[in-house]
Amino acid sequence: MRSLPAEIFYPIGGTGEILKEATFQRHLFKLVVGMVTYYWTDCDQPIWFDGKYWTPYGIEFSDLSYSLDQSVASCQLTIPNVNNAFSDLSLSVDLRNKAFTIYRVWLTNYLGVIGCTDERDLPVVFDGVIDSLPNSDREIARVNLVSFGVAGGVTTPRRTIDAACSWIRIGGFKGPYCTYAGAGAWCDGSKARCVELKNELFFGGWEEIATLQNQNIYWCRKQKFWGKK
Amino acid sequence: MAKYPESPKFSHALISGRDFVTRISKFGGQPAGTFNEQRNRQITFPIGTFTLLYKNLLVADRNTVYAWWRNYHGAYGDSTGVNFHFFDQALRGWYGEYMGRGTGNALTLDFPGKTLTNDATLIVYEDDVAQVKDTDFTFVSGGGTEGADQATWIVGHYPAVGAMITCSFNGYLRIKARFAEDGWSEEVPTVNGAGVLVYNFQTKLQELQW
Repeated sequence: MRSLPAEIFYPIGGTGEILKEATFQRHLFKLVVGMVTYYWTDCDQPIWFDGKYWTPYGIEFSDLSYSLDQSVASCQLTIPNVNNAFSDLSLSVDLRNKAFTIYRVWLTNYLGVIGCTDERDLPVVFDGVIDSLPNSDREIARVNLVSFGVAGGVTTPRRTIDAACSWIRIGGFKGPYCTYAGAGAWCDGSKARCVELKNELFFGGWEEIATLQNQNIYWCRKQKFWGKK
Repeated sequence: MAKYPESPKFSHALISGRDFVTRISKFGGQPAGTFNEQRNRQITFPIGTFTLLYKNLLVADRNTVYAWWRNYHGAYGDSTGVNFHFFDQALRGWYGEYMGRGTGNALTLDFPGKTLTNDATLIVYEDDVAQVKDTDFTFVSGGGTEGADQATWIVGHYPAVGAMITCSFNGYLRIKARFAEDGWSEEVPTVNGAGVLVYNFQTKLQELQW
């Protein structure tokens, strides 16, 4: 997760804490479905940012769950569905495993985004994929998100040596560390996908990690089984 | 979009609420306003409800309002769900009202009002920066939708794409609205001094975001 924009830091003490007692804080949501990308916000007016409008959509999210244990980071969204638009979308295309990102933005009075001019600069609240769409009804669609790390079997976010690519979370797909600038519209952080995109030189994971899992530790060239047959 | 009937006149427009939404957190059991309070603004423009009281209407006038309510299917909208515009009947001052967004190109926007007083009280803002009348834009009286006044930007001063255009003015406010409720109710008609049945009721309009 990126640090907060400098403009909302305490301007005198410079401690990096949010000491300003009042903020105009909203969220941007990005859903990538194949070649189509949906840009939404929970603000009441469209937000012009990074060369496009992020359209008001009454999305709420709750139950962000991060942990240092082996549970997968997850999040649940509720999306207005009275006009069945989200139902239509979910019926027209398989939304599972589609990239979904939640950004937090601090806004000026005229809905300018403070401290960021590019999507890659935005603080990420959640970066993952759609896992399931449980219990949607005629009023509300519900969407469960899980972290990108679920594909690599790792827990996020935490700073650790992951088998999956870390650049997904640090700067994002096509970000400054990923450097990929081709036509591919998604990445799940796996080495396989990176190879598909011909970007493996910049793969940000440690793929040998998986091979070390559950191995016995020994100090010789060859593992010996003392007293065992 | 059509405008709500300006005749018959309602006797009084009660702005029963025009609200911002602020989420407030308090910590440590301290009362509001203490250092531990944090506030987060949730919406850009206030949203209100207008309750219109109709008193002693003749049946033809009552029928006009009822027909309008019926045509708009309560809270839903017209046959395709489109809502309507409502003009306030009192001249008042309005501040920071939404006009539209810049496109980077030639632009004409309706004011959310009509019969605006064309003096120093009329201010147009681009991203909170006041624009200069007759330098940045020209004021057009009554040229817009349903008689709304307009602002037309002058070449070389077009607002940037995505810029938020707002305004302050004295005039008759125009809002986008729907009926706040699906239901229609009215009092039993009474007989006035001339022996004619008169009708009393009220409608409640829900302001919508532009």
